[in-house]
Amino acid sequence: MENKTYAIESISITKKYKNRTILDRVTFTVTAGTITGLIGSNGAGKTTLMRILLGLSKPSSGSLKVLALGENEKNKYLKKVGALIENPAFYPELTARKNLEIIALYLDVSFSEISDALDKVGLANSAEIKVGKFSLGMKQRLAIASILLGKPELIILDEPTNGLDPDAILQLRKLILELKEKGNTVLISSHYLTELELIVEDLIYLENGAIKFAGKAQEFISQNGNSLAESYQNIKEKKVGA
Amino acid sequence: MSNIFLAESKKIWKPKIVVWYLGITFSFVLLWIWAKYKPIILHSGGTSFQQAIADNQKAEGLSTAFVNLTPYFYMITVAIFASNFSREYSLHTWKNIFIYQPQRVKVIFQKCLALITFSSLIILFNFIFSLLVTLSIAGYGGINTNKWLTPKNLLHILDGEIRVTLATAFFGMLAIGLTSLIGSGKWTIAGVFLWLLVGEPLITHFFPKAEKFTINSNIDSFVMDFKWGASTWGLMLVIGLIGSIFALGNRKLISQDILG
Repeated sequence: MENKTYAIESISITKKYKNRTILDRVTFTVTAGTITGLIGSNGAGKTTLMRILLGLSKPSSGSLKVLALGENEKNKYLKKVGALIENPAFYPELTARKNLEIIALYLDVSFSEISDALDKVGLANSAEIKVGKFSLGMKQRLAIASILLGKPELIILDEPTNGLDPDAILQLRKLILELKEKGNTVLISSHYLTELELIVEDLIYLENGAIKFAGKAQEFISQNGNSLAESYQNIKEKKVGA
Repeated sequence: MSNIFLAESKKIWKPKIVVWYLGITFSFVLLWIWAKYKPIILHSGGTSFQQAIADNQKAEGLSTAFVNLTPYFYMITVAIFASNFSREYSLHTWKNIFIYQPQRVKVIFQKCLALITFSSLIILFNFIFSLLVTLSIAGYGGINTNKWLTPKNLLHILDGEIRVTLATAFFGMLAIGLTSLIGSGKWTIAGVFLWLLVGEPLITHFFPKAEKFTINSNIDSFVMDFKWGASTWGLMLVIGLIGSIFALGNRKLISQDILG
């Protein structure tokens, strides 16, 4: 039997909000050192699931282990997690460097690592520009830089390619693959299925708050079509079952 | 000094805010001193001249210029504290903060500490400015500042400084609590200003007996002539009310889901 270490173990997580079930007994695992894609239509519960993993939202029931630590040890595991949830959030009146300095202080990381992080996302020349003047793509890259600052073991990315131009998407893909090479675990949600197919090994398909598929991405594709995008389309058009 | 405190201070100590805050309060210091000592400086006669001379003899010049500014400190404090908290909602930065520092109580405590430190230092700068201005008018028309700088008077001023800082912190707590409860800095600022400038004066006008329970009069009496140990029901009620709003607001922030 294969001996796997899990970066995330979600057991029957349910989230109810105002009599509405956002997540319904969601059970899945994310193997350490892999890139796992999280797909599903808008409102499927992807962001809620990520928020729960990050301690921003409490599950109504179920249990969770992140980096082998339980929910009550959130303070310990979040130090090893980097995340970009929905739109990047920064202080517009401060420069990119100042924003990262604030994050470095929260993370207890030396300021000397800021230049390196900015360089990795191609923002070295924009370090002294106020974030209010940044495009969405630049903010997205700055958010990735902030994640890199903490040298996390687990990286959770919610729609990281939003607003990125093709060059930046290429750069992000390279960066994510590099992180994987270094042993990091990445959980990434995206609507860009063609892009996602290039990097993910495992896949979680969430629809109406319930898991429809959790396993190898290749298995999902071979069962439903010729590519990830085509497989997804076939499922949505009910040509095949997930 | 903790890292969270430093991070929060970085957000508050922005040149634009400091320049506006100091600019407004320094202008009030100058206006107040000019209004009070104009009769002496211009050697004018009449009752205002007599009053100014009498005040000069009481060695109050230094501290009153400073203490008379307190309502402005309170209102600016409400605006700064409320906007600092509400911006974390509107910019969706709470999610970053609480991922990096999941201990929400710790973050809120350090944030409050950074804001109170900011307002205390601004008050101190104002006091130093008041001191420099009042000293600079020494000698004009017989204004004698020697009495103002006696150890007894300086101690009295220090006591005033601490009371003003505490009173400012109360207003800051009120702003933070309301912002977290309502989720809007603008409504908090508008509500508190309206209550202090219109609500309480109207209540006092129509129901004079209610004055001893108003925020304005209790904080004023605390700053001006409160005797430690000799507590009043009105003040305890005001402190309880502000403390409860602060606790409820932060309870909501600590327990709620962070969206956006």
